[in-house]
Amino acid sequence: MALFFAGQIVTDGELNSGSAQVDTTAFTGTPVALTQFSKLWDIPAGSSGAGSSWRLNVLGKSVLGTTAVGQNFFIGFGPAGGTQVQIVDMAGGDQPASSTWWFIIVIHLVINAGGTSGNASVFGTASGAAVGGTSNLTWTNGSVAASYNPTVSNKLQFLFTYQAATGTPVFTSYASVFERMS
Amino acid sequence: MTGYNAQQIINDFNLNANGAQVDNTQYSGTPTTSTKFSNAWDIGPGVSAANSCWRLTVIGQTVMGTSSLGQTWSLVFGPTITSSINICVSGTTNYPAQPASSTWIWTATAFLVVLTGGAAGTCIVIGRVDAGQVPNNSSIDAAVGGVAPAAWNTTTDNTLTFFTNMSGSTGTPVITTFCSSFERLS
Repeated sequence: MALFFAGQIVTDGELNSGSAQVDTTAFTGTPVALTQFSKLWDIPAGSSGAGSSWRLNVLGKSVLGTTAVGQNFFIGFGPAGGTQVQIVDMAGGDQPASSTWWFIIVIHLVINAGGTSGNASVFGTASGAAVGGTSNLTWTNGSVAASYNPTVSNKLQFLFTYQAATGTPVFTSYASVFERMS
Repeated sequence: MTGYNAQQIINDFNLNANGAQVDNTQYSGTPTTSTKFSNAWDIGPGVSAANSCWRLTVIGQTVMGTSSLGQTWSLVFGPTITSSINICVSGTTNYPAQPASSTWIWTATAFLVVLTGGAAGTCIVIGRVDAGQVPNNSSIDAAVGGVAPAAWNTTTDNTLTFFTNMSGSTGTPVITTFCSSFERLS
């Protein structure tokens, strides 16, 4: 968050909102290859070091057709968000056919060591549950000491794909909330 | 959250604390109908627009009596208490009945994000409940429930509140919420 000083004159816009950035662009479709499903959030070159951390929340739902198909959730980070960590490798029957699941995905990126040879911990949790209460699951996965160079421009994003398009399932992410915590 | 005015001079404590409001009022009881169990957090008229976002976190416990019962969790939002969404409903797979004589600690987290502003605006409201049994020997996969796009009029006074109830009162289970924190994230 922004650092302020006693006596500093600031605007109400600076004071009366929190430190998160929000994007409400809807990402929707039936991807069968890994596809960007949130804003590609920017972490500028040189703006962080060891101990810097961010949290990305993605809010969405998956509507399955008459076939239960598996789903893959990934985190994309690093330059262009191109380094991937899988959060979810969902089996075809985990979300039942003809069900709608709401999802909250929480991703943390914490820089462990700065510099051009730096590294970061990148973790994600995805919780999904069916409308009507018939099923739910939570997944967590991550990468420890992943190569991460804070001296260059980096990105963070959520990526999604169905494992098949049978029955035309539709995933929609309604919003992503990007918080710099330190 | 605290309202500040442009050009207002305030101290560093005001500024460098994060923007959350916290209510330590305890809500406790054995409700069998949907009942308010947090502060009704206020979102004033005209203070938000598309991309405005809040996070509500509620921390509490459920102490079961001699019977196993289910629990329903809900979020109530908008200008009245008529708009609501269930995070989960008692007796469903998403939040199984808690065993008799058990104690569960849980955290409920909700997001409200304005998708479009104005009198005919919309939002997404979504929440999750994570629970573990004391002494942490069992847990429940997070229950998640949401709605989008839901009607949300940014020009009027709105509130966001956490509601809950048990599926019955047999054995006198007791739900207690210890605090709720309300963050304006953007």
